[in-house]
Amino acid sequence: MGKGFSEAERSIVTALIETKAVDFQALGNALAKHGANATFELDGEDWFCGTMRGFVRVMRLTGGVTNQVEDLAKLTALGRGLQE
Amino acid sequence: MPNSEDTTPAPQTSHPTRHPTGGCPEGSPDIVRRLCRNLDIAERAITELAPLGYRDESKPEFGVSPEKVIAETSVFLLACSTIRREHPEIEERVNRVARVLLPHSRTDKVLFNACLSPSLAWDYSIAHIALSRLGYADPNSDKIFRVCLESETSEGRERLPHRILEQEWLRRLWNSAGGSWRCSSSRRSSSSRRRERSIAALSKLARPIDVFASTRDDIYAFTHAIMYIADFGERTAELPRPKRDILADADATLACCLDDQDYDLCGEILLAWPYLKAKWSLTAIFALRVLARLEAMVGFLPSPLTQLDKYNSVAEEERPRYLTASIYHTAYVMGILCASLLRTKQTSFPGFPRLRNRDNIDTLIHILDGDGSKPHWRADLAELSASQRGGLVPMLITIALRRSVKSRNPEQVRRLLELGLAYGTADHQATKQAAGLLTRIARLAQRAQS
Repeated sequence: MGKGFSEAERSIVTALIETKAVDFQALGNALAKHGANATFELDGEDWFCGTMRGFVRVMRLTGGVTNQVEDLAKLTALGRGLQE
Repeated sequence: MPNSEDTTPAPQTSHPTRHPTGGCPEGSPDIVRRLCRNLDIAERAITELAPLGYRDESKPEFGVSPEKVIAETSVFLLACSTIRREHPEIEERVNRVARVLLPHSRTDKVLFNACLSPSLAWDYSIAHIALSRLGYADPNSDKIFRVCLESETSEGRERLPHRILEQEWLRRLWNSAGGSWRCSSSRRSSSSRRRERSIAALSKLARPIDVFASTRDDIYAFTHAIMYIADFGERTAELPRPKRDILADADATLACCLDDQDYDLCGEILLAWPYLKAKWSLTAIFALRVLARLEAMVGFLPSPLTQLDKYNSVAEEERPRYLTASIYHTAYVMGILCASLLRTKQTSFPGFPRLRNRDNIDTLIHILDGDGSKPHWRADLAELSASQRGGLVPMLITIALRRSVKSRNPEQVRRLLELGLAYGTADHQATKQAAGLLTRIARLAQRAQS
């Protein structure tokens, strides 16, 4: 697994594999069945042998990031701490 | 639009006492005390974050790398470099921060990385350049950086125009710090000016900013281009457009960022006035007032990065590092803003002028209040007299138009344009762009009907 993974990301990827949410056997079967023809028929730069095609991508969504300043009175308590 | 209500419990503070932020003489001017306070935060940031940065396992999008803290602290110190001699309390702190920065600036890792990627050599050298300029020279590191910068791949990376302006600024800085990179004979200097003009012509300064659809990155590109082209206020900038047009953009975006409570960007935009040697606009004076009040109230200029839930959820010994990581950037912006005021001999924020015979703008304020939002600036507006509020029509109409565009309410946009015309703001950025928007939508409607 990539060096840049956090613990949380590592857990998610592990869970995706262990629960077969991403079924690599099924993906492998599909590629074995259609891959050879796809190599010749699909558009793309890698027309020579098809090894570079990206058939599966897992995206990490970064929604839910807050963009609001917290309650000022409560932040003030933190600010006082800076002066101690 | 933000509301300022919150029901989460007050945070349990637990801070070490090893970074006292007091000590600035009571009699020091307001701006000096604020700058000292933010320099104290810089000392704390380097001590706590320069070794390992800050990484939040549960929120990978919030993290601070050591390189980022080191580079930003260097820029902060550079912004203070010319004013420090006039204020002993500032000089003392600048030297203190410089000394804690020193062990991180010319490490084997930094020099090795510069050798490995010469196209990033200027980026890696920023702490070295800042410290050299502050009197902490290191000829051996100079030699290594020079070898990297002379590499044929030193310009091997494609950069956005404002990032190229940054590299040019670093080049000038290094020369002025004794780095003598490509000695500036008059011929070289004029060719470098020509090159800079051509880069500036491609930057965000060369064309109007989109008041309604600009991203934060667009505004950063705008503010950073001004910083670099003006050498953080140390030289008169050669601008690709008339100064008044650029300041009109600054005025409009400042209004938007104030309404978003994005004080990081507000602070950066405000630098446009001192760096371009311009007289503050009324919107700018008002924004300074808001930022100054919030900083005085909270103890640091707040940003959305400081999350109370997060603060309370991290282990007690981790809290100071989390707090520092979440506040340091906005604190630096405020510090750089204070330094820019001191550079122009202002030791306090300008007061809002008394104005007479201004329009009554109750209708406009009523529209703004009608959507239920209560941004922080609203309390400051309430402190002004009716006549003073009348001086803020361009800011208020910009905010109202932007909210209406964001909520996809063309009827409200039309109503506000009529109001704007009555108030005489027809030639302001937001009004012109809103009129353009309505025209485009009308064309689209005609097409749909035909």
